[in-house]
Amino acid sequence: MREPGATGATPPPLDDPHGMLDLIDVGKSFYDPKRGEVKAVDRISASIPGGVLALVGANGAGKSTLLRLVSTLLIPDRGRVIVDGIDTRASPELVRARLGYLSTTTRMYQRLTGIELLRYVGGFFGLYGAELEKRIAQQSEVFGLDAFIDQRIDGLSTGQLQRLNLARTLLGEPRILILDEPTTGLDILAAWQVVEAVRAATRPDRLIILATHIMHEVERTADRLWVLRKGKLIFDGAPSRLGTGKDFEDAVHGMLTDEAHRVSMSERIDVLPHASASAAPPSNQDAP
Amino acid sequence: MINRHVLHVFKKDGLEILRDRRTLFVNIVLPVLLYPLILLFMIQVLQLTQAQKVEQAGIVVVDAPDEIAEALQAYGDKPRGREVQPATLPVEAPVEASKKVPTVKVVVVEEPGRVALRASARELEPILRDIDALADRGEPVPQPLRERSTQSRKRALEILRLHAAAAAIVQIDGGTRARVVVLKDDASTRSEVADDAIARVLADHRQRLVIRRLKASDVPESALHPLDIANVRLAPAAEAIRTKASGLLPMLLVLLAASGAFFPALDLIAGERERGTLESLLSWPVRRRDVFVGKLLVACAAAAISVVLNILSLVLTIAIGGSQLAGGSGGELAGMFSVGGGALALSFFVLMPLTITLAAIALAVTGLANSSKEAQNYLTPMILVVMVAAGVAAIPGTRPSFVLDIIPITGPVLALKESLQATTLPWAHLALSTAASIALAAVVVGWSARLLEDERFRYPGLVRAGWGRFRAWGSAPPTPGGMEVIGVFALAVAGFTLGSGHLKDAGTIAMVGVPLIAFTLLPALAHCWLGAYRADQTLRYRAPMGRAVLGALVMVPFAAMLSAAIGALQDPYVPKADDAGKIEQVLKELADIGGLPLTLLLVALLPAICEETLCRGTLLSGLERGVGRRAAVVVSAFLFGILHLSPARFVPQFVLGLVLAIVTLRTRSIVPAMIIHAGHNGVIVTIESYSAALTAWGPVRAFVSWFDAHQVVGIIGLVVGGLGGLGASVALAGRRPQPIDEALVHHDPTPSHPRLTAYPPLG
Repeated sequence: MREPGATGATPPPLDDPHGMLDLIDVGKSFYDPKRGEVKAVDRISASIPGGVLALVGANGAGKSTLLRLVSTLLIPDRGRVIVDGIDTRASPELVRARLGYLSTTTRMYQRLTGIELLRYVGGFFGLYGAELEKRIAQQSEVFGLDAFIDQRIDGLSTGQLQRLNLARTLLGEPRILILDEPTTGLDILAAWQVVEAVRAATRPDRLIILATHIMHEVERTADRLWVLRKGKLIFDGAPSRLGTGKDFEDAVHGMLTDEAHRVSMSERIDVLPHASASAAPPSNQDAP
Repeated sequence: MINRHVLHVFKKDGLEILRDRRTLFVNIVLPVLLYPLILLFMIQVLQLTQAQKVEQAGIVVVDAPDEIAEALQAYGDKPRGREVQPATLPVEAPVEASKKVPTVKVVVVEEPGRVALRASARELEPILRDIDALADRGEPVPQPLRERSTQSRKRALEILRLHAAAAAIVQIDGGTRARVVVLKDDASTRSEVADDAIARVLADHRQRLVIRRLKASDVPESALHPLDIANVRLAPAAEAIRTKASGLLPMLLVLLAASGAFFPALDLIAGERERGTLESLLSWPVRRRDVFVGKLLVACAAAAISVVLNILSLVLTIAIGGSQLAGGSGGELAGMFSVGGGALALSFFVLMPLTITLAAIALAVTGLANSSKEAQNYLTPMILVVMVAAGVAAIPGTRPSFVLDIIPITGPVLALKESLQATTLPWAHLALSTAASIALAAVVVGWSARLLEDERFRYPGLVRAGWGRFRAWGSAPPTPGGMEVIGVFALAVAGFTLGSGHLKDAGTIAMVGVPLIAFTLLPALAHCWLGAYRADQTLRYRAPMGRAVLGALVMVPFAAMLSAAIGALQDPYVPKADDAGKIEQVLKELADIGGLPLTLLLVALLPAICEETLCRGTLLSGLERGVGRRAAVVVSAFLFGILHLSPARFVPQFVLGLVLAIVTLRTRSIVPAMIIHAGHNGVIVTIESYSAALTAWGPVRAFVSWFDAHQVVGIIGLVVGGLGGLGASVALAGRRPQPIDEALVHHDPTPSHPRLTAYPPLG
């Protein structure tokens, strides 16, 4: 029987060169009782090598949907999502074996202890016995889990739980690490720890996707920024191109609201050839 | 099926359930503890009711001989409690009088009251006789008569109630033929007891009178008792009770297994979703099927543990406390478990696939819920269905049959019940019902294990799991799925069987035509329309190529030949259709009404259009998507074979179904299949109608006599000729099968999809 999720399998070859994540004309729509069809992800094409990618957008812009598409939780209506050269539709298990996914809504099995959770997750990544214990010890050291690793999860504090979550997400040494608003609900200290963990986990052959609302997290960690608006990718480039500090925040804020978008963003959008055609609303042409 | 990841999920989910102490306590420990408590309670209640003094029914005796009053006074019921065991006392002995508990008492009424009762009785007796006579003649009762009767009754009732009596015995005429009127207060709570007592006492009194008179005229008493009867029970008491209780055990096992599987099912998927862990679980590199199977194992293990613990508790409880309940329900319960280990093991084996099925359905259904609470709502009707299906089988008197065998739950429970009752095991029923359960389990598990693969199942709120026309928006496939069309087919067959019976008096044309249209054509069309499927791809309502029509026409005689050959071949082995005579009758009536044209219309053309739409339209396209092209041909032919529920027609229809399915797939249109079907029926009907004239014709007569002489050669010739001709004309009719329409694999779900507008005109 095929061992599902085995990390050793070689991905099918893809037209080189490919990035860690390739989106080819990806679209996903949902049904909303009030609004009818909602295009949560609207024909996005992009390619990303390793590094830290920050994903920014208002609520409902399609961040979570895009991340779920990457992590095979959703299936694209159109187009292809290719993770490390593997189509998410063709071999979802192979994709998931290269993936660490952590979302805001994630909670964990309350009746397990920390170590049991790590062993459970490790088992799916093909980790057993000594190798598993070694990895657990490693992560436990990085995130300081020793103090509470034998406690049941329902007794952990929010910060402890998030550290445990990061540890279990990194346990399989993912090539792509997806963090969907990982600092939401954390106090300043815990949030800082998470950001530090992201920086520590950065490796050239790893792609970290960080969806967030907090601009200074983007500035501190990301070397690439995607801005999503109503399912469309409206900015793809280095965050530094938008300036620093207040300038950066203003620029991103501007992109997310219509007015400023029209005034100041039209030329920047041109850096993204495939987005400019579809993303720019007709009113843009009238802009001075 | 079971691999490392499945066991991994099983271990972790099992551990979590074991740690959920409260749920575990309520669902497993509590019932186990409850049995002894319930038993104690029952014993207590019984003892209390025994200790209670029985409220006696009062009876007034007016003018009747003292004997009757004395007999009433002595009349009593059997004492409750320990019954005499038939094993120790084979011949039923009369219960000794001294042990009787008096249930009635004679109430003394003073003279004015007696006068009133006497008057009422005397007045009412003839009135009632008159009223009866009027009613017999259908005449209305005159008002004065009715009023007198009402007044009389009222007067007597007042007196009875005044003296707290339930009835009165009033002798209104002495003499050699005495007359007694029994006035009853039938609204009294004790009226039944009084009725019983009066009936017995008066019967005894009548017999005493007879014997006394016989003696007076020197006739021996034996003249009145020419026959004495004694009942002897041969079987050991335990066996007799076991037969009575045999339905209870399998029903109990099924219910215990179902509830044992249902409580963890609530938690396993819906609980994960509710607690926000499902998304993480599904983002790990484990196949979703393995997750499902692991969880299914947990539910099945819980069911098994729950059954074992419950049965152990029941057995222990009965062993310890059952003796106090003997004779009542305790005896039946004890009898239920006197079946021995072998029967219990058999029950476990037979019921195991059923348990797996129920657990898989529970997981699938509850998995659609957003919370455990919502999941609970879905489980309640399921428990009801299980109870009804098992309960029907447990009713004393229901016996297994080969049709019932394949009904889930009912079949296995019936077969088990029968094997507990009978001295020889009903192997055929056990095997068939178990095989049907295993097949069902395979289908259900296979289907439900794929559910987690479906994003609509993973995010039920986000991605709408709507259906067809009821969905405001969605990415519906252009053709239905396999399970769905089998459902439509089952509905059609059920309608056909149940509905046809009601049309017997509706005239021949309606009797033939209405079921076809109502139960084959309409379900298929309605399903296609409601599901918003594309009629050209689902029903294959498409114009055929010219050569496909030609090929179909060429195929007609060969198809008829093949049918005739198969009919002749199976003749000695298959029972004649019990409705064969009826069919002939129907054909004759049709011919009388409208001649051959009407017969061909109703027996050839209409079935071709209706049955093809269902079997080669809906069924074939759904199965093609569900199980693949080749399996679809075979399965659709099989279902077509059983469509008429007639053993004699199965094989010919199955073969015809194979041919029609292949032709439909190759020509990608339903029309050639309709042509062949209509032609096939038409040829057979025409030959039948003109058989007399045809056999009189020289060449045909020569052929028939040759055929009769060389049957084997003839039949082989028919088969070879039929198959060869069919093969040749299939090749003529169509190309090689097209690859499945692109749309079937990767349908384009954009809302501008043309599926809502792509209906070609029907027919």
